[in-house]
Amino acid sequence: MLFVLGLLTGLAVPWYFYINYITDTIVKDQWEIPSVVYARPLELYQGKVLTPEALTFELDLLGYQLTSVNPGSGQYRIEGERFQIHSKGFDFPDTPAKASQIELTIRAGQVQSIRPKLARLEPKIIGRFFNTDFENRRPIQLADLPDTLVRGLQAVEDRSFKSHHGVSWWGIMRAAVKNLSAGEVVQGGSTLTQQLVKNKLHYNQNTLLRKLHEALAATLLESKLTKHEILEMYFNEVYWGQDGKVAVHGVVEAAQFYFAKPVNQLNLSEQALLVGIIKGPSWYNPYRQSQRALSRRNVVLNSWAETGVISESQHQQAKSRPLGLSKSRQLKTDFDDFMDVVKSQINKQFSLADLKRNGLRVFTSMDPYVQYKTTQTARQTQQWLNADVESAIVVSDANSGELLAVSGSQSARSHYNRALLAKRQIGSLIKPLVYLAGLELLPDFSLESTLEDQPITITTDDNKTWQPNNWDRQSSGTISAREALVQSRNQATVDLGLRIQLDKFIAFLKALGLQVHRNNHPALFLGAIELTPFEVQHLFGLFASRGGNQNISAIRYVSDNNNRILSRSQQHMNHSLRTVNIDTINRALHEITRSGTARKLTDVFALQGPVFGKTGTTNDGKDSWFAGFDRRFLATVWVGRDDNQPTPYSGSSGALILWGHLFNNL
Amino acid sequence: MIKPITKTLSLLMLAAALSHCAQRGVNVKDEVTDPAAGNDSLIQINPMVPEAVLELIDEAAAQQSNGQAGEAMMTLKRALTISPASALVQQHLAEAYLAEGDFQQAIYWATLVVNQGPDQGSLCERARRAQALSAEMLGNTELQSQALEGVASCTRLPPARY
Repeated sequence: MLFVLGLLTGLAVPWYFYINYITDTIVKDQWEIPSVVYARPLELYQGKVLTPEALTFELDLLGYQLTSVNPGSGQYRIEGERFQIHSKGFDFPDTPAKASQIELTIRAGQVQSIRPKLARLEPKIIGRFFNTDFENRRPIQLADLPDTLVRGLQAVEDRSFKSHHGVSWWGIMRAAVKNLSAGEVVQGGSTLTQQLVKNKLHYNQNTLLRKLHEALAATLLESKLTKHEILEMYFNEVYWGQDGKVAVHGVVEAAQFYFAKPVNQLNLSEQALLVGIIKGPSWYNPYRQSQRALSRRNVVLNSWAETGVISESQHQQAKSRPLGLSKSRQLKTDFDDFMDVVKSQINKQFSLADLKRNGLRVFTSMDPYVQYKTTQTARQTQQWLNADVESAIVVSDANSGELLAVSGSQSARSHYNRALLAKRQIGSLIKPLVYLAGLELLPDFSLESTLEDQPITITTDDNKTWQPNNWDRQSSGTISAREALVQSRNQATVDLGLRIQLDKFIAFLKALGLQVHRNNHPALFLGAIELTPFEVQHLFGLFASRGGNQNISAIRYVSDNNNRILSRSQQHMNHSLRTVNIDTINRALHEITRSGTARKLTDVFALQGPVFGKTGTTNDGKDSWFAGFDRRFLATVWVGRDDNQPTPYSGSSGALILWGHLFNNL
Repeated sequence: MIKPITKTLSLLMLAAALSHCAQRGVNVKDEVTDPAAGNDSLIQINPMVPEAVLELIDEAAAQQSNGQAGEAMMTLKRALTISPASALVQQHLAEAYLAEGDFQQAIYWATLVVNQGPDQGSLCERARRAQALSAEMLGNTELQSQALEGVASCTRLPPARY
């Protein structure tokens, strides 16, 4: 007996403390003061590369007003090449900048003269985070929700919400009886508080232990939050469906997703549909199962009429309405894709203790003008390529690796950030790394060494034969390694790869931070590895910075709301590559843009200054890539289809076109 | 029997060396900037940077002498956003991190200047001295000796006249 008691105490006490801790984290999840995310401030100095268009764009974005008289604070005047700006001032963590007059002239795309010698404008706010999960959706207050929605939710999901203490034992028993008589789970007995716990802790299983866990957590949560707070948190947190690969959480997002409306403008039938969907967002998905969703909505409306939430005439009127779904979701802003990166990097780069504070100020490297041009380029994907394809673009500073702009889709309607999430085969983009590995690992290898570009048959580990082909189905015979790289010859590259050896090449890639899983096929030498455009950007950062930087970072530093620096980004050099070898590959990458597979950049786009880059194409044009850089910018462009179907594009006829237009406009 | 004794002795020596490093203070002026300032190479390479960058480097130096190390670092980072490839700014960052005791960051920036910066003159020497000092503090004796050997390569003297 004593043993059993001891065992129970030994398990129950730690269990209680654990659940107490997780309910505390739920309570503390919301910030009283949201964290603010800033773009980089525009630095102005003699010699700065800047066009009048870019400066005007920045000033307009920051809300400056054009004037024809001497400018006051927040105004600017243009007289020919001369700009007069009266800045607004900003409390930078290093040195506060007071509001002041700046006078500058711009000629031939550069700041020719400026007074004072160095000035910076305040940074643009590009987003806010409202909780410790770094969600950028703004929570809604309960008072701002329609009363019918608030009462209607309780009428359908939890009628005893006001009286229970987190768990409705009567509800559980009722559900148990129904489930037993049906022989399967047909009804859940979860209260709104239990559902909130389930959503917050991402519980998906319905085991008895999970239910017990959930019940205890819900009871504890009720002792820490008021009913009003629980309901408000529920409306802001609950899972409402799936927009492609993006989860729709909270009533604000749900109203936008299904009806493209603010919540307070939803009519009764729309509110009823939202409440109805909660029971099974996938099962009642109104876009796919309209009849099922309509029936569910009407069940909700019946329940509302029965409990007096709505009158009978409102009931009849609402029931007669169609679902009224919106065809388009709220459009993304230009900054949303960049904010995805900030969200994904902030937890990795900065300490958790720092990030739990209220009112953080997150200073990023985003360049609003480059972002604008990048977004414009992405939006013209279909116009320039004339086909139903998607695109993703990442732009960073060529030297420092600071992220400047991101576009995750050709459409403002798509919230799926392909730049960050879409893992695709990279094709020939891997070749510079194969040749770099050759220079690093093979004692007598140089780009003047010869390779055999001829048919080759390889028996792989699974006893199958593999015969790599060139894109033109021709073989060039004995050629120099330089020509093989510049002309992107597959057979010659495999010849080099075999000399390097697959296991050594995999170790080489891993040393550069690439995760290569279960890949023992020589097709790896030709890019049979899936990476996101963002990961490709990391890799090419190595070439653009001449080995100095391979981490593309979006956040410069974070300060608290007292302007104290909490964390700065850290630099790491994870490789021991020789700069001379990277320079050798860079010369070949430059040659590619002059006479190789990317010669359109010279012949058609006539880009100024040296340009470096590599095309990549996978089978049947499923993926079209171009990654390249000049002295200022590094950009990776991907073009393809979400369903991985073929496109008519190679790297040079697809992604490179977007890249060329972008660099012509930057 | 000899092997364990040798191993123990080696470990003791390593521990002593590391504890020496931990106790040893770093004086950037005495160990890096002043010796490098005396570099009398015939070829001195001073990469061009915008005037605004030089102004920020001066501002960071003033902040450092006022004991505002954090602000100085932010000022240098600001200079870096203007000239991200500037070996001069990178070297100042390496020295600022050395003074702050962040040897990992110091070695990163110093190595960048060694790999990509000038290979002659006082900036060349400063980078190698900063790299050697940070490597020493991190117990990386191989890199330390490699960096110190590199110091000599930064000086090209005029041919002797007879």
